[in-house]
Amino acid sequence: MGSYHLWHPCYLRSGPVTIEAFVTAGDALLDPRGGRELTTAVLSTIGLADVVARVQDHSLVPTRTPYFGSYRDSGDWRDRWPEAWRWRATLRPGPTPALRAAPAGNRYDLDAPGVISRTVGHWPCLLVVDAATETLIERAAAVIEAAYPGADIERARALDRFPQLRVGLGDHPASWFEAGATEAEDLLGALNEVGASTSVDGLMRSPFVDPA
Amino acid sequence: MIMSLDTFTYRPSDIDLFGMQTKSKTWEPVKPRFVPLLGGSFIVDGIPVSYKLEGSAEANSSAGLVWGPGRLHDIQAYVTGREAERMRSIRNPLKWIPPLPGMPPPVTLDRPWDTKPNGRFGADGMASFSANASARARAESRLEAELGVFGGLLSAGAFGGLNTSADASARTTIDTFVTATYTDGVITLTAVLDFSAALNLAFSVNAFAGVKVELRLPEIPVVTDLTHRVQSWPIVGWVVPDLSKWRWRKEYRKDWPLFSRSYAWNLAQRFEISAGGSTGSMPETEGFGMDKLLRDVEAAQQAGSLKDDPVGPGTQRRNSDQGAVSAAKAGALAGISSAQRTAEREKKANQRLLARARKAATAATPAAASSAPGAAAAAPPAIASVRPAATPVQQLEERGGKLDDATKSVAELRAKTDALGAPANAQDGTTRNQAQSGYDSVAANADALGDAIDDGAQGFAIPPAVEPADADYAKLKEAMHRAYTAFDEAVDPIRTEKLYADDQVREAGSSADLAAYRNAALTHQSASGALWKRVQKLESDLERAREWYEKGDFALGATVFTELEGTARRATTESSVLKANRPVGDWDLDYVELDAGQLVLKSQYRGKATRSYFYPHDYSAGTKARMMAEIGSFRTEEGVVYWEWRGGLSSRGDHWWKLNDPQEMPTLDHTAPTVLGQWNSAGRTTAYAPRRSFYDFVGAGLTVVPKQRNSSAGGKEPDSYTPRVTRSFRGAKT
Repeated sequence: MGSYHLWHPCYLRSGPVTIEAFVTAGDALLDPRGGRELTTAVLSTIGLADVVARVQDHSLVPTRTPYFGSYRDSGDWRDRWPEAWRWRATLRPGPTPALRAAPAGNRYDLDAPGVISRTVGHWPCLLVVDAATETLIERAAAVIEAAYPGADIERARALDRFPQLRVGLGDHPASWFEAGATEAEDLLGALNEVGASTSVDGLMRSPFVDPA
Repeated sequence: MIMSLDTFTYRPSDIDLFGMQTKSKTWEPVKPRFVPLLGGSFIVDGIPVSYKLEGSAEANSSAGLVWGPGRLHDIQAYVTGREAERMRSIRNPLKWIPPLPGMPPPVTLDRPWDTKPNGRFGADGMASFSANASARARAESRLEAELGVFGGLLSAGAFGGLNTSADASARTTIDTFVTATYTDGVITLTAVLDFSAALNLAFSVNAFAGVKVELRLPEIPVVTDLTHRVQSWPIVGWVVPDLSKWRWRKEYRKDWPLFSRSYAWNLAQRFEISAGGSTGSMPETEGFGMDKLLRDVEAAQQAGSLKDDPVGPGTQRRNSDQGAVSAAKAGALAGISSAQRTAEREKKANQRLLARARKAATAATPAAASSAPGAAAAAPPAIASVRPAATPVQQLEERGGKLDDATKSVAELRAKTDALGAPANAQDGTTRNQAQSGYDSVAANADALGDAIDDGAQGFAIPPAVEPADADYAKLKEAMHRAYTAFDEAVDPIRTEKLYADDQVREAGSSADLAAYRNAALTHQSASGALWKRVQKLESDLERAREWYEKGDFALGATVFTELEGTARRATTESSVLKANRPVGDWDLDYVELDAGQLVLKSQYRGKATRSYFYPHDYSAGTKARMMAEIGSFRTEEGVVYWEWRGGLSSRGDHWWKLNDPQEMPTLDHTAPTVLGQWNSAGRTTAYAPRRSFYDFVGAGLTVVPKQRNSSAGGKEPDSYTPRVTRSFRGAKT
C-alpha cells in the first residue's frame, strides 16, 4: 500500500488544460507535501510523466470531505470529515495524452514527500458526487444549486465513465465541522435521496460497478 | 476665357458625346496570411481531443464602372477677325429706305445668308455624364489542422474558415468644363477627366472553425461479411447488421464575429472623352488595401475553446454492456436452433411427400418417372420458354434442394456466430457493440429463414399438386402451423432453464457449506428436466401426428394439432414459473459467485483489488494520534527533521530517519497478522466491521516503521488473497 492514495485523476472541463486528482493519506502519518516533487510523482503515477515539463502551474489544497473517509459513523468529527488534498496541474498547450484506466480498487498508490500537519484552522468543505447517469447527475446538480446557490461546481468523470461533481461549499473553520457541518450534511442527505452517491465506497458498489 | 471686344461668341447646339459605357477590373489577390483560428483541447466523454487550427486567409478586390450618356452643353465658339465682323453684322437692324416714285422699292438685307461662323476657332462647353462605380472585396480562407485524439475510440476531422465580403457602390455626377475646337460648324474635343468614387466597404467578418468527432467503429471481418451479404447463401433478402445505432458523430464548432468595420475606398476613375465617344478606366494598380483588412482580422483573432461534451457517444455506444452481448448471442443461438429444427422437420416431411409422389407417378405411367436421375440425365436440355410444367416429383425434389440449402445456411449462420465469439469478448466496448449487431443480424436471418420455411415462402412451399384440395386439409395445415409455432416458442426457455439447473447443480459441488443450495438446485433440475422431457415428447407427437394426418382424416388432425398447441403453450407457462423460482444463494450476490462447488469473489474483486474493496484505505483520527505517540523522539539537524526508529539502521548508519522523505517517513504496518493473513484466515468469512477494526488497529498495538520497511512497500505486498469466501462473507463497507 502506498503512503498516499491518489483518486480520480481527470481533466477538468473548463479553462486551460488542467488535471485534477485527490490525494489522501494511506500508510503515512504525515500530510502530503505539495510542490514540484509531488506533482512529478503524481503525474508519473498516473502515467503522464511525459507532460511533467509542460506543467506551468500546480497546487495542492487541503480540504475536508466525507467522500474518501472510512469512518463516517465515528464520533470524532475528523473521521466524519477527514482531510483530502485537491491536487491540480495546469499544462502548457500541446498534445494532451489520455488518462489510462484506473487500477484495481480505483486508486493509485503514491509515494511522495510528507510534511508535519499544519493547523490551518479552516478548510474548504468539499463534496464529491457520483451518479450512474447524466440525468441523475443533473438532478444532483439542481439539488446543490438550490441549496447552495454559490457552490463551486466542477464537472468531472469518475473511473472514466461516471459523471461526477466536485462541489466546493466554501471555507469553514474547525468549529463548523466539529458542530456537525449541518448544511453540508443536509445536502449530502438530499443528494443521497435523489440517488446520487457521495462516497468512494458507494461508487465502488453496484450499480456503478456492475459485476456483469 | 478672356475675349477681346472684336470676338463674336457663337453658341452651337448641345452635342451627344457617347452612350452608356461599362468597364470592370479585378486586382490580383493578396497573398495568404496565416491566422490562428482555434487551439486547445477539450474532452468528449472522458476522452481528450486536442486541436490546433490555422486559417490562411487571402483576399481580393474588384470594381466595375458604368458611365454615360455623355453630353456637351453650353458650348461657346469664340469667332474672331472678319468672320466675327460678319457674324456681328447679321445682328444689325434692317434699314427702311423709302421707295422712289416709279422705281421698284429697294431692299437692303444687311445680313449674310450663312448664319454659322466659317473657319477654325476655339470653343468650350460643359461635358456632363453620370458614372456609377461598384466595388467588391472579399476574403477567403483555407484551414490547416492538427488533431490529436487519444483513447482510440474516437476519430476526428477539422473544418473552418472565414466568411466575409463587402459590396459598395457610389454614383458620381460629372458636369465639368472642357475646351474644344470649332471648325466650320464641327466641334471637336479631347479631354481626360480624373475623379474618385468614395466607396464605403462595410465588412462583417466571421470566423468559424471546429472539430468533427466520430466514434470509431472497428473492422470486424465477420460483421463486414454479414454487412456485405454473402451471395452464396441460398436465401435472398438477408438482414444485414444495423451498425447505425452504434455510430455517433458530432460537430464542435465555434463562431467568432471577428469584427464589423467599414473601410473607405476612394476608387480612382479616369474618363477620356471626345465628341465621338469615351473610354473609362480604373488606374489603380493595387485595388482596395486588403493588407489592412487582413492585419485587422489577424489582430481580432482570439484563441477559442470548444466546450467539453460530458455525454459524447454515451456509455451504451462506446462501452457495450456484456449482458446485452450475451443476450444477443443467446438470441442468435436460439434463432439458429429454431431454424435448424424447422428445416429438418420439413426435410422429413418432404421426403415422405416425395416418396408418395414417386410411387404415384410410377403407378400412373412409366414415362412419368422421367424425373428419375438417370432419365433426367438423358433428357435434352430444356429451353426456358417452352419448358413444360414441372411434375410434382420435380417440384418436391427442388424443394428438397432448397431445404438442403437452408440447412447449409443454418450451418453458416452457426459458423458466423462462433466467429463473433472473439469480438464479443473484446476489451473495447465498440468491438463488443459490433459483435452484438452481428449476433442480432444472425438472429434476424435465422428467424427469417425459419419463417420462410414455416410460411412456405421463397420456394419452401409444398407444391399444391401434392396437397389435397380439401377445406379440411387447409384447416389441418393452419392448426399444424400454430402448433409448431407454439412448440418453437416453448423449446428455448425450457432448454435454457434445464441448462441453468444443470449448471447450478454442477457448480454447487459437494461442499457441506452449500448443501442447502445444492438441494434447491437439484429440485430445480428435476422440475426443469421433467419439463424438457415433455417438450421432447411433444416434438415427437407433432411429428407422428403430421405423418399420420397428412394422409387423411384432416379434420381430426386439425383437432389433434390444436390440442398439441395447447400442450406447448402450457409448457411455456410452466417454464416461466420455473425461471421465477430459481434457487437463490444466501451469500453476498453483489460480490460473490458460485464456481465449481466453491463460493468465490467475482473476478474484478480478486487479487490486490481484494484489499482495496474490502478493507479501509485510511486510518481513523484516533489511530493517527496513537501513531504519533508511538514515535519516540524527533530531532532537527540542518533544517532536516528526523524521527527515531530503533528497528533498523538508516542509510546513514543510525536509527534516525528522515521525517519528510518518501522512503523514510513513518508509516503504519500491519504485521501480526498482515492484511493478507487476516483476509485468508478470517476476513473472507466475515462482514466489513471486523475487517475495519483489524485494519484500524482497534484493540491492537501499532507498528510504526519507515516506509521502506513497511511490509506493503515497493510492491512487496503479495496478491495471494484467496478468492474463496464463505456464505457469511459480506463485502459491502457498511
